Amino acid sequence: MASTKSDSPLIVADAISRAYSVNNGWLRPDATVHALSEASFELHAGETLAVVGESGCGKSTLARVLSLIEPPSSGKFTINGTEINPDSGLPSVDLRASVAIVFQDPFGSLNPRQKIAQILQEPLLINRPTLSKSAREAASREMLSLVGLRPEHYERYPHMFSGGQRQRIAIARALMLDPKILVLDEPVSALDLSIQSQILNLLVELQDRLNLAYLFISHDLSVVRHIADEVMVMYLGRVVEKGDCRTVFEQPRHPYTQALVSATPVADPSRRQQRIQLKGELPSPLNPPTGCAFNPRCWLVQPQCQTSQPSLDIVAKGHELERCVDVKSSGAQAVACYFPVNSG
Amino acid sequence: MALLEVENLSVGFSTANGMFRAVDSLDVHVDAGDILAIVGESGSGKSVSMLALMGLLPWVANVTADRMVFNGVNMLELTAAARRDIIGREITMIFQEPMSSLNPCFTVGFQIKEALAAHLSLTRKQRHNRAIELLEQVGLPEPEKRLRAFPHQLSGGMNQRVMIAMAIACQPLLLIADEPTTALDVTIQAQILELLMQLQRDTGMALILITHDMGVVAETAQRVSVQYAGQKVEEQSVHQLFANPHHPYTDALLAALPERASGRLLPSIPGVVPGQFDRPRGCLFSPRCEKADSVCTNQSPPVSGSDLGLARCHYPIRHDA
Repeated sequence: MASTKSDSPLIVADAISRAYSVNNGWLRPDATVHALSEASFELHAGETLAVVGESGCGKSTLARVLSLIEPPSSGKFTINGTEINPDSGLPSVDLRASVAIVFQDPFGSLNPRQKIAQILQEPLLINRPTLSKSAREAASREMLSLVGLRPEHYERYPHMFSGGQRQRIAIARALMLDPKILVLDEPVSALDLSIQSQILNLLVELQDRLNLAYLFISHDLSVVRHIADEVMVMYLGRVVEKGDCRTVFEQPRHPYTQALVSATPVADPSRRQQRIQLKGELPSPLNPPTGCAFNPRCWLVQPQCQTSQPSLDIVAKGHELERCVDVKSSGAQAVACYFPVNSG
Repeated sequence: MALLEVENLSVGFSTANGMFRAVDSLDVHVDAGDILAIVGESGSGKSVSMLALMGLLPWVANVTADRMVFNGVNMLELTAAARRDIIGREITMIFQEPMSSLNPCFTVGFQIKEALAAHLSLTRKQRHNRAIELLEQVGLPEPEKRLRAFPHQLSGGMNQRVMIAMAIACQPLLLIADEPTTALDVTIQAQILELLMQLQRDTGMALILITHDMGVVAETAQRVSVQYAGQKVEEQSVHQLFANPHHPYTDALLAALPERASGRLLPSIPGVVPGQFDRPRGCLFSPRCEKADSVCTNQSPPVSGSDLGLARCHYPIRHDA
């Protein structure tokens, strides 16, 4: 889909993990939540990698680590060749400018006391202190028109805009420092259907024009299917399936992906289908099950699944497994399951 | 006989800047055992219309209707006490946020039994047994233990099951579910929708499902009513609506679904839903409509016949071909 595809990836993530320690009450030792475990992937310019999964699966933690809000607690990743690992300390200003993030709720992510002009100029004020006032203003006015807002919006406050317009402002702010990578944390889930399509179109246009790489986090599979090139399915902090977007949706191999695809309502009444009903709910990340995290809810569970953790392996047709190196968007698919389903 | 008949329901809120009409001449018709879905974007008045029916709106709301009859009872002339007798027993409602609709200070068992005590003359022991029975019916494991749990000890999906248990406690004739799965994850949403459908089949109650998710509508409803800016713009059976939408808004909304898209860009509806101050004069959808002409911008459209899905449009889309 992307017109220009450079060979060297913008992001190479190698087994990044992030753990948090939580207070477990008075007199008890702190517990550890493994919010993100050993995620490995590559992200190329002009491409969209979607991360899907239910709440608590580590999607947003991944977004925070990649946008350099917090360091990984183990593993490493490179952005444009610069390595970030747990010991690398504070990332440089230039590195930070190359990754920007757009949050889910456009009502909470804009400061109500700043005008749009201030909101858009602030990144420049902090990161490009040598820029003159007029250059800042010119840059921010140009950005405003790029995201489809009118010049008269420049002097207004966020409360004077609708949800869709605010999300445009949030996107404009994220693009002020010419980032190469945009992390989109559920960018359209707070918006109405008719506005959602406007924002999705804007994202597609911006990607074509600026050759941006998107890390698109969403729980809405129909949106992901539309916008993504590659997709990564997460469950309880682990990547359980990864591959080309169409392949994963049409032939899901991990039982969880299958359940997720079948649970998503399809807007077509003539195709009411028998859903795969998952028993129970997501286990607590404080006390994850041993072996495969999905085993208590899996309908294909075998004794092996309860004892050891399956690794993310490339699946070929049939059941041949190969050690996962990395998945290129050639239609290859990796799945973390001992008994991948043959569907489609 | 119709279970619920509402004609020409309007709800206005008087604000500092004049009257704001949240619901505008709305008709609702539900038969026993019906599953009606009301879809619309935020601000389309779908929740407010149902809250008006339940009498749950604050006193600042100005509710008027030509007719509001539930099961033979005229809801417009009821005293507050008589209304409370129906609400919570024959008409019940579940809300979007299960966490905030339950009282955090009391156990879920207490809250379920409270509903039973208010409406049925059961003994304490009978209420306890009925509460356990209800939790079993909504698929909560270990009901006896769960009765003693507080809402914060349960997950979102479990809390929504508790809400459903409270709503079906007195075997209602009509259950109104206001975005029951919006706050839940997809796999849990599938469980809750399946539960609601199964309860509806078992008890034969009527169900009004308020949602903004076209996927949920397609998978559950029998009839769909589409609302836009407080007005009902179209009503059809679910198969007809998805195959042959008659109102341009419904048509555009369905085309904007990512799963129906063929190209890289989605067909989108320009502009936003009109608010209090930018309400257009004629058809409320005219500023965003591709087909709008001078008639649309000046005159309110009539409601078409049932062959055209009751579309509120001057030029409903015909699918004769």
